[in-house]
Amino acid sequence: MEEQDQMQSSIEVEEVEEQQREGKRLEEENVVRFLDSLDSYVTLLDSLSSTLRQGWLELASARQSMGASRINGALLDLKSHSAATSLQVTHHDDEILNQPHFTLCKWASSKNGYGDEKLRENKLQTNSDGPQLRHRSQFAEKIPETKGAPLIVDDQVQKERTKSLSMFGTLVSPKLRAAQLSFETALETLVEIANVRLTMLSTSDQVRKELEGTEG
Amino acid sequence: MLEQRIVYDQHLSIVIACAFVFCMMFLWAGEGTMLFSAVFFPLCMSPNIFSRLWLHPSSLMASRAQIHTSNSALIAMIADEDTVVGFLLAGVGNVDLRRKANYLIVDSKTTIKQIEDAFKEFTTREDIAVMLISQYVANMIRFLVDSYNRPVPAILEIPSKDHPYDPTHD
Repeated sequence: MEEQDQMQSSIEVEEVEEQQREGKRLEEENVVRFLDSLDSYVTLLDSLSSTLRQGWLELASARQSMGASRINGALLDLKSHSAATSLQVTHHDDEILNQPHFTLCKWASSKNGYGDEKLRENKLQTNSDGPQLRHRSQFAEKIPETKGAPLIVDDQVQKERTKSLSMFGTLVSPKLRAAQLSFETALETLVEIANVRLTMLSTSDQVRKELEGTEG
Repeated sequence: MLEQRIVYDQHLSIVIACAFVFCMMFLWAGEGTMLFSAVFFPLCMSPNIFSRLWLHPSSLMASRAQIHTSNSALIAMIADEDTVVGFLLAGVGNVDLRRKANYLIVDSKTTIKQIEDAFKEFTTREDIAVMLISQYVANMIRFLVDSYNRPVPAILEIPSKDHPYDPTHD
């Protein structure tokens, strides 16, 4: 009888210890996830700053070659038109982080169902050209290796780009086209920053709650 | 879609109830009621008025707080001219039928009230998912930006050409 009681109490102690270990493991996972997202955020911000700087320089060069009167805010199209580049907002499937997820649809046209092709092209470009992010945790997404896969630039994309440039005239400086590409890259980086920021904020909330729980 | 269906069903039941009441009143009272129903009944058919009256405020608030999935949400911008022009070249510019754009160019003549109004407008529009704001502009309305705590639209502070990015303000 005494032996049975001893066995039962030892089983209970083991269960409690197992729960404590599991809780600690989850806390550490959240901390690692937070640190990963913070690292990604800082890296992406740095990349964004340099991309924007390049875009501004190219825009300034275009303004110098074409003239300040040909590139300014007064020429912007105020007639009713819809955005050629938009965002897709979906819910994350992760049970732990229930948050929205943004996907950039560049030069997407809903009329011809072109958006999906551009989405895939954007993912390829992001993976090959984007900054290399360090991933400490095992929970990071596995980015497929592209090794510089060539981008297929469709005629439709070129038409949309030309249409966007046309507000500054038919013949535009190559610097203006380069500025357009730089700002497109900046947009991709911004969408990544938005996603990483959401992850960072939600994991920091979880870590804070756990710390408050531990102190309380 | 389910929410729309619930609103439609509630609206339909209101319309049927109103039609029944008007028919009874018409049979009982006569021409005056006919005139009244001719004016009032079309209002019943308007979903904008009756669906909003019928829906419980808490469900309205809940729908506002929910994150809507969207296939084509916009990117709004409050920034200097070069930044806005650059992103417009990338195709994010949108002007609706009321000539309302999804961007505000901030220059020396832009007042803080205009920036505040644009911020409030962009953060309440349901078709905007991300808002880009230059950090120096965000500093002008820092109390508004810091008090904003919804996930969508996401507010991203970006560096500007003339003002270097300060991570302590982020």
